[in-house]
Amino acid sequence: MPSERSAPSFLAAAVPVIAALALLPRFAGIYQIELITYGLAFAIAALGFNLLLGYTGLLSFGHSAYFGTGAYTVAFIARDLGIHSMELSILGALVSSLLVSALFGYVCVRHTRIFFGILTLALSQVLWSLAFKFFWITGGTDGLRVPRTGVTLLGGLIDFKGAGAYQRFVFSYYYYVLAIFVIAALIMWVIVHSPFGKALQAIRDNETRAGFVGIRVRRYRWIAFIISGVFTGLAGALWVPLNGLTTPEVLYWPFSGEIVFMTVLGGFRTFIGSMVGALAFNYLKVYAVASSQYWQLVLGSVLVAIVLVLPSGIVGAFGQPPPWVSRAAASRSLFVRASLALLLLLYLFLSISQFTQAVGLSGDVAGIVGTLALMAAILSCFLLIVLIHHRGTAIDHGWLVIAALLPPLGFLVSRAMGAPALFATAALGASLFLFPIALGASLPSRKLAERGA
Amino acid sequence: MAILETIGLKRYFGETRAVDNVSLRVEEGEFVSLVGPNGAGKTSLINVITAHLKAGSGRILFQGKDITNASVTERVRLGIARSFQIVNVFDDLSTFDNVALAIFSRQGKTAHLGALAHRDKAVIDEADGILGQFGLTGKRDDDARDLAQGERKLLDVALAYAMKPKLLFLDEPTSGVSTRNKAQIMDTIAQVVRGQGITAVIVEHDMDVVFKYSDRIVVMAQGAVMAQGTPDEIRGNDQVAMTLLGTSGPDAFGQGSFPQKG
Repeated sequence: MPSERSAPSFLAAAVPVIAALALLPRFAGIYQIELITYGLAFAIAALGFNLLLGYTGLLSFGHSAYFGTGAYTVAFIARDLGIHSMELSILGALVSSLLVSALFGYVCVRHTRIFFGILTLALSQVLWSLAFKFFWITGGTDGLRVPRTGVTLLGGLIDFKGAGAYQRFVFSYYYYVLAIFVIAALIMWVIVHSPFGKALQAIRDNETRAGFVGIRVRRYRWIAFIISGVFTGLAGALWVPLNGLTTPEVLYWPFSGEIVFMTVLGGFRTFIGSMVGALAFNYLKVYAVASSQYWQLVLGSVLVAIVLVLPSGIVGAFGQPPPWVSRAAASRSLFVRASLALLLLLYLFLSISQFTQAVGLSGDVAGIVGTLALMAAILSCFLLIVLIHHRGTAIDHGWLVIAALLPPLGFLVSRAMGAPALFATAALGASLFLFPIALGASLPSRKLAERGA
Repeated sequence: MAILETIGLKRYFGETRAVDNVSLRVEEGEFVSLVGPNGAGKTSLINVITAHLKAGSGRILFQGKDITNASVTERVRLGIARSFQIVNVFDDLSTFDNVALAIFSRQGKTAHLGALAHRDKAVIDEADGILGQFGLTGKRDDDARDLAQGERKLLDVALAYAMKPKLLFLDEPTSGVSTRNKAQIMDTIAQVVRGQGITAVIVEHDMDVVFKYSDRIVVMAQGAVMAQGTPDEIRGNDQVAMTLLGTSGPDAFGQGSFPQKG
């Protein structure tokens, strides 16, 4: 169930994260800052989406509609009213997404399960086709431009004219989105912990009984739908100046699917899951797109793998462990074997990814293989962390930590000292041979292992 | 004045007459037991009165007011609450949150989006009080799905009780519970309900329980009311003994309990 942490512990967990995000521009480059700004905007959308999925038990396949409504509203306000103040644009986007989600929600909440999902999908595609066909209003497939440096923030206090406008925009806008994100997350946290939020969870658990304790199920679903739509609309509004352009693509159903995926990826049963999922998904997608023109293949494979091994999502994995983790964490010998296997995979995938770079392979195959291998390596590393977290006795296995850290460290050091990539890769690959030996040395005798398991 | 009155209430499922022309009065403050063999229409009658099922025909009056077409939530707001034969609670919420939710709802606070539920001292105290009354304090923070069957039954009743109803329907509050726990659960329920002067209608198969706690017993068979009266009147009714036990005579009910369902 969604986390039941009290306010102080939630704030205690949130403050360091916010502080780290606030300090980020000191360390990260302009490109990373932009990526995270995108991620934060998507996180607001996922947060809104998850009020429906995680807390009310309704799976919407049409949240692109509200994101797109927010985005197009900002574009219309800029083009037709000549207003470039971000605050006024956001206000407009909130109102328009409220109206659209109130209308669509009124129709959709009369149904649940697949019927609800199909209705949300169908209605969102109505908006998409409007944006697509009425090109004299919406710009059609060309979309509408909202120049990044044209907007003003904080009622005109900050504008982006003159030299270095683009850089100033990226940094200012990052803080702007971060501030709104923090406020939005706080508001959502209060909503899900309010009596209203409890009522939504009750509806999710048992609609019939919710009615019999006097909750007006349909009305509450509708209100949740509207809040959800408004959050997503806000995300769309923040996204536009960043992207510089809005096209019908943000109204199209695959984008609804991406919002679903962000939330499932992070874990829809926890409050922070959707936000973590949005940031992670954004990174995955960006790197997949950069790797090859067949980026959907890369992204799809990674997402399938993640859902298979971590059905409860990235954040959910630290709560209720997936079955394979709880089995592996329960027995010493299984734990040792599973962690060694993961380490092996980690190095294997790292080596493959480095190898494709080192020998200078190019083209789609190298792009796909290299990126897939890198993502698989990151996933293996993450699974190892999850496993150790649930075993809770990492100190017993200090050698494991050392084994995990030494080769990548050696690799990084050799790269940093200017060794050729091929040499470093060879060093990394060589460490693979150590593993059968480590495996043999560290495993308890077979008899013991069997008894342990 | 009768708190509840049904007039010629009917509900058929095809050929099956689940509720067949039931005219029933329940007086304020009564503890009424609804008994009858499986399929007699006891649960269907409760479902129709609480709007879980639509009435086919007939009228339902609550405190003299016609509620035949009122929705579930409207009837709940008027003061009709119920528990379920098959446990119907919020499995993913804690025991405490289950009860607290019912209180929030009763007080109209579920419309509040900007208040923190865990800061509402009055509701917390009341919910803890109810958990205490039902002996669930020890399971306060467990998810409802992790409770034992008997505890889940009690939680189901506690949810209905937390609505502070005027009229409370309890559909087999002890079914699926071991005989040992049964008396304890019934004692708890009877004590709480009588203590608050709540009018209660209870479906029960255990005739010892029925005779012990009821002011009045209503016997149903094939969707219709077959007999009603005080425990003593019902005990002496040969026709009822035949229907319920398949045997009659002065000692029929003394020989043990009614056959259990499930």
